Amino acid sequence: MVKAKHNTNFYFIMAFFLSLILFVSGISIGFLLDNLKAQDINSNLQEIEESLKEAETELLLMDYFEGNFSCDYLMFKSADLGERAQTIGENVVLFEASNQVNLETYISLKKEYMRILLNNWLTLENIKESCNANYSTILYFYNNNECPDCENQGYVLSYYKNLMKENLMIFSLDAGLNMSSIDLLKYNYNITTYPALVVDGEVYEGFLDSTSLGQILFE
Amino acid sequence: MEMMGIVILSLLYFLLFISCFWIIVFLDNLAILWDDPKSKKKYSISAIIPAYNEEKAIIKTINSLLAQDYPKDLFEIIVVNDGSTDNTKSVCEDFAKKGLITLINKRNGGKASAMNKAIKVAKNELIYVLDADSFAQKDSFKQLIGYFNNPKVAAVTSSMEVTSKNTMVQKIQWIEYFFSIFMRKIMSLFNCLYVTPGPGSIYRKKVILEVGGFSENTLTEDMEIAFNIQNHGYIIENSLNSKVLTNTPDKLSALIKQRRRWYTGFIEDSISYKHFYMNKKNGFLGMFLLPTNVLSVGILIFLVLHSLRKLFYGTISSFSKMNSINFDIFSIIKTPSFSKIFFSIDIFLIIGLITLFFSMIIIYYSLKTSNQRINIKKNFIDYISYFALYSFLMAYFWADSIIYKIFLRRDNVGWKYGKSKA
Repeated sequence: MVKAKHNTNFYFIMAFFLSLILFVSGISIGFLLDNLKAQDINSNLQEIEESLKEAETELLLMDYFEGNFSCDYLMFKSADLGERAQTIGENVVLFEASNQVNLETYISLKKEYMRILLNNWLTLENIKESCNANYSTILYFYNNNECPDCENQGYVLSYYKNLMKENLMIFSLDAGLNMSSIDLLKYNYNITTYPALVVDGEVYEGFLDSTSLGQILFE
Repeated sequence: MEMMGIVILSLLYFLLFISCFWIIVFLDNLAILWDDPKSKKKYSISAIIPAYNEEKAIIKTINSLLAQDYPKDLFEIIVVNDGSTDNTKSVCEDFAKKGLITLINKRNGGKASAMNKAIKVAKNELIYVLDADSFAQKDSFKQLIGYFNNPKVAAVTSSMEVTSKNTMVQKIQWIEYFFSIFMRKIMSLFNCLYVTPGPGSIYRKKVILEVGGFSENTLTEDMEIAFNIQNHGYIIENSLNSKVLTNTPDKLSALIKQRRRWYTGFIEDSISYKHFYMNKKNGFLGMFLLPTNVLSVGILIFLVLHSLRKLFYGTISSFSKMNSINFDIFSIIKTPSFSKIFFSIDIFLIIGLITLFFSMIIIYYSLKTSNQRINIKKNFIDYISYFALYSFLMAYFWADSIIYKIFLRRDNVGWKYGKSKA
């Protein structure tokens, strides 16, 4: 018989080590990527946080000088902040889907993101009021555990964000995170079911398809 | 991580381990794979062509044997017409009248019965079997007989390539057959071949008679005889240099029928020879190859079902999302950014890609084993269709065969793709 050079045990051991090295390398790369993703989200959140503080200071300065000399600048900046917050939000969602190992990191990142998002919303509402800006703001309350329509609602909102660009600012809030700040808003707007939208201060509970939301936004 | 995630990663690791194993064996034995032993004597050979309704192909098949580079006085050709209803009989009679072949006409009884009939009249030491739609290259006999120097060798198999790759189904089989050539050679290094395919396998007649001939009660007589040979403690070898071309199904329906017969045959033969499984006496075949083959089939079906489930729910979800924006699809299409791609990569994708990469290496070496030039530009569609569809097709064929075996199988043994064509 034409025999293999080595016995089967030799090949088993070699294959075991090679596959183990590859497998562990793959898992390690996965971990590394998760850490890089978390770092990326973190650093972006910090940048936004700083920009928000800057915007708040600028608003205070504007009040002090009782003028609207920097409205154009603030509105431009607010639009930019909104865009960046949305990108981070999308990355947080992707991070949630791809992150298999570090749930704690994800939750703490998401909570941090939610806090900044709320600050962003407050700042933009202030800018809107001070500068008579005409963009719409939507607070979107969702819950990953008890909301079959939330995925579609998020999709409809992305659709309008794409259409209206800087004229629409969306703030997606995860109501299942047990954050007192989000609970306070829910209490204030009397939100009991999901999805729920607060469009320029008006509350809408239940799923809104593109036609219904379009009527609200363009009425 | 969820339980399902851990299960999938474990299964991917198992597939990676198997791929690594075969690649390491292949590379370690590269120097000896093409070495066929020189024959110490000139064996006499009886070449058998069992035929049922093969009027179109059989002339070429007989001619491929007549053209063998082997002393004419040392081989005979026996054609068994197993009750064909077409012109196979008259086509073969022309050869018989010229004294080029011995023609046996019998009532239809299946391929195994046709071969057993031929073995009874065969005069020579070795029995070479060639399906009536397959064609041996002219040095095929010479490459095979050297293995019989070892008295324990009972059979030697050839390398089987496809004759044509016109349709998508044939293109997939074109690569699959190269993969089989690669696997059979490596398996032969550990004496764990458990099939001696109808096209181009050669047997020691004495051993075939000793093990009771080809079983007439199985769907895959070429697998049953191999199990039987192994069961009697003999060796089955493989030659990379002995090449045989064979026709393959050109339509999916014909391929499904063929695979149903093959895989149901495997299930039945596995049941008949269940004592092989996890039996140290059967060495690598019993302790590793057969159990891992069964496990791999289970894993394949599980992973494909899991993927299809995800695809199904993904499609429903996408449809629902599209519906929620009144199918205004163009408004939401965005060019994928680096950030999106980066954030979409997960551990499953990484491990899956590593496993896929090693599968590609195996296919690369399979093509190299058969001296095929890797021409990605020319064969791009073939490679893509193989990698995109093969797993799904295999999972379907196996699931179909398991269901067929459990619920539908009747004892009908006959001919052609759905019956007894090897």
